[in-house]
Amino acid sequence: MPSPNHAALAWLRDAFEGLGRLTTLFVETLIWAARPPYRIKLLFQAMEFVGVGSLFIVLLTGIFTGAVFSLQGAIAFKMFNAESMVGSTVAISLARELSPVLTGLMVTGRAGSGIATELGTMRVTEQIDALYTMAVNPVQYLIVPRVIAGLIMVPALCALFTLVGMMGSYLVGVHLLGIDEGAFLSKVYWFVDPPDLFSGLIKAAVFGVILTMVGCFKGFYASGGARGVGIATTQSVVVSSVTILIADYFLTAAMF
Amino acid sequence: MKELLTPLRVGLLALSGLASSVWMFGQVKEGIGDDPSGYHVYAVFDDVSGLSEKSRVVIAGITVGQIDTIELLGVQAKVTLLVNVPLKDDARISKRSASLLGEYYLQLNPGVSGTPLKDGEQIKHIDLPPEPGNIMVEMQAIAENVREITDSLKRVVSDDKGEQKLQQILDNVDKTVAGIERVVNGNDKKVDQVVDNVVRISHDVRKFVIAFRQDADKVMKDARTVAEGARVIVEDVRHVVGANEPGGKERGIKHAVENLEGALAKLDDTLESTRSITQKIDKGEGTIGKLINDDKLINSVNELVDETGGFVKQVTRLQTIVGIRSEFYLAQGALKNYVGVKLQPKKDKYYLFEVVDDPRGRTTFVQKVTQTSDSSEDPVIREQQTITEDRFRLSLQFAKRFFFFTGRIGIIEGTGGLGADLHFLDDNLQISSDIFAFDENVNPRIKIWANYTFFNHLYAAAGVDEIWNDELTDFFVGVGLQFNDEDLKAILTTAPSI
Repeated sequence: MPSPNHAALAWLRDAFEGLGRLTTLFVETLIWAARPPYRIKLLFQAMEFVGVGSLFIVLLTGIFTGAVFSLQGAIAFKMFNAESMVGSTVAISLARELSPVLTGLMVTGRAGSGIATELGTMRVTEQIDALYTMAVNPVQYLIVPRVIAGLIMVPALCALFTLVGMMGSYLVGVHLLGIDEGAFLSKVYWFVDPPDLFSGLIKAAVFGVILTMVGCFKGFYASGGARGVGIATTQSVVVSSVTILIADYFLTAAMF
Repeated sequence: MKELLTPLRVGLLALSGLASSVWMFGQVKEGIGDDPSGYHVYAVFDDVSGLSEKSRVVIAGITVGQIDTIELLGVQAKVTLLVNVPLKDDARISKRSASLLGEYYLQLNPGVSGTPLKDGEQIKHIDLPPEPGNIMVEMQAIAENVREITDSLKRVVSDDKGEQKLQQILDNVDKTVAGIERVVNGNDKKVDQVVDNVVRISHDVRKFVIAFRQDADKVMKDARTVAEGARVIVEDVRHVVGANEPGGKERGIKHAVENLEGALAKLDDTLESTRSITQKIDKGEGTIGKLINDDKLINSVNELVDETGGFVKQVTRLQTIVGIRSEFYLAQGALKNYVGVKLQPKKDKYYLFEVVDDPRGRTTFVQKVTQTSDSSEDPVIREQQTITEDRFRLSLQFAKRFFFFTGRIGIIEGTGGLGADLHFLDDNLQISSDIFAFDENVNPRIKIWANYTFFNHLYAAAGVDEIWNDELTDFFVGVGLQFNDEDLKAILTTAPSI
């Protein structure tokens, strides 16, 4: 039975070791991304998996997020007789925070876990080792396309999230709650600025890299058979989600 | 198929993501910030609470800008605005409340006179409209006053005594009103009679006053007549009594009566003559009768006066302008001189008479045809002589002006021709063209030149002559002088007499 101090030290050592391996893997990914051969086919497959595969769930989340925020906002603003502010409030919230964060979380849940499972399975079945034997760098072959796919696809999904979120907000606010359409839209146009949208897209790109990188990392270093793959998958989702939320705070602090 | 579907799906997703981003960016583009006509001005406020960056700046409720920055300037706040409408230096700005939630915006009055504000300049006039906070303070003061009044009232009526007093006052008022009513109801007939009597009396008094005034006037007139008569009588008596010698009294009276008779007889004659004359005049007899009774004469006189007036008007309106001009032809190295009189009866019409001394002289063609019966010769001999003489040429033109264009027609330098002038710069610059001498050379003579009046009566000219006849084309420069009536009057009156 190790002492608590020893256990804490071991956890800390493991944590730093894990961070170091993640950083090393990220740097390797950057280096291999720049080196040929460029596997376009793999990239498109990864983009399809990360982006197209997550599209439906992201759109569904988006429209209901906008709708529910409109509903809640209207109740709050009605107290001040300022319902027309609902649209602009929802739009700014979506553009700056909700779209990138919720898109990141949704893609993490669907694609990040999938990546971790896929790579973990490849690891435990020694397919990754087989790649080494075939002189194929597994980082370039497996990780680079997925990270680039996350970098490109998550911002695209984020933009669509914002758009359908605003549609949901408009439908609920104007058609369900009867808020003046002109006031609703004019406040959206007046209060939302291009930097708001732009910052959301930057965040989404960062979250795309985080969730794919964590998924790849957890799967790439999975061990312990089927159970190890399950643990890697769970850990990838948890770590990605928490990292996305923490990164969101620092990105927001840096941008606004 | 699967291989093709993957890029297609990815492409569609990427494209839709990109398109939605572009569309949203387009929708929320920063209105005023992107406007190239936007510029910065600033105003200094004592208090900017409620205002924030990007708050609206409006004119008549229309957004024309936004607050760019708010910064501390000593103990005041400097608010820099980005606006896209022109402002004058008498522009006014005020902070207005958009709602009771404490949202504010800036109301701008762009100003009507003064110099336009430039980028970075200050709006100096700050209006301080009533704010909700101030209104609250005012309301509080009013409420205080109301409270004081109600307190006083309360003090008055709070105890039983106060209430009794009030009740007493009300009872008294009630009684008084009842008494008045009773008096009026009981005596209304008498009151009516009194009023009628007063009306009647005032009517009688008025009539009496008018009658009295007429009588008084009459009495005064009679008195004046009587006094005059008395004065004459006294005068006559003094005459009569004036003869002091014995027996003179009767003689004086007799003499006076004789004189009076003589005078009356003369007066009768005079009246008779006057009556005869007036009868004749009435009948239209005699010169004076005709003058008075015949309208023909006066009509003729009227017509004559009218015509004379019109003629005089025309004569006085007629402007006479005398001009002299010299042009130096560069290729020929010779001077061409003009002396002219311009008669201008109306502003838009004139007649121009000019004498021109052209170095080219006047060329005439003489064709001599000789017929002969000599078989050794041509039966018809045609000789053509070209004679060039150094003679003056005359121009006589009629000109009519339409706005900045004047057309001329008539004789130009001895041949028929047309001319046109264009006037610019308050008629100081004149561009002219003449076409004349249609049969002198192969092509008609075309002359184009420009005059510029640079000093009262002095003008410079430059142009080109004979444009259409290449071998004769020549450029010229010149100067000219021009005097009108007023100048001539001044010259003639100040010139020494011969």
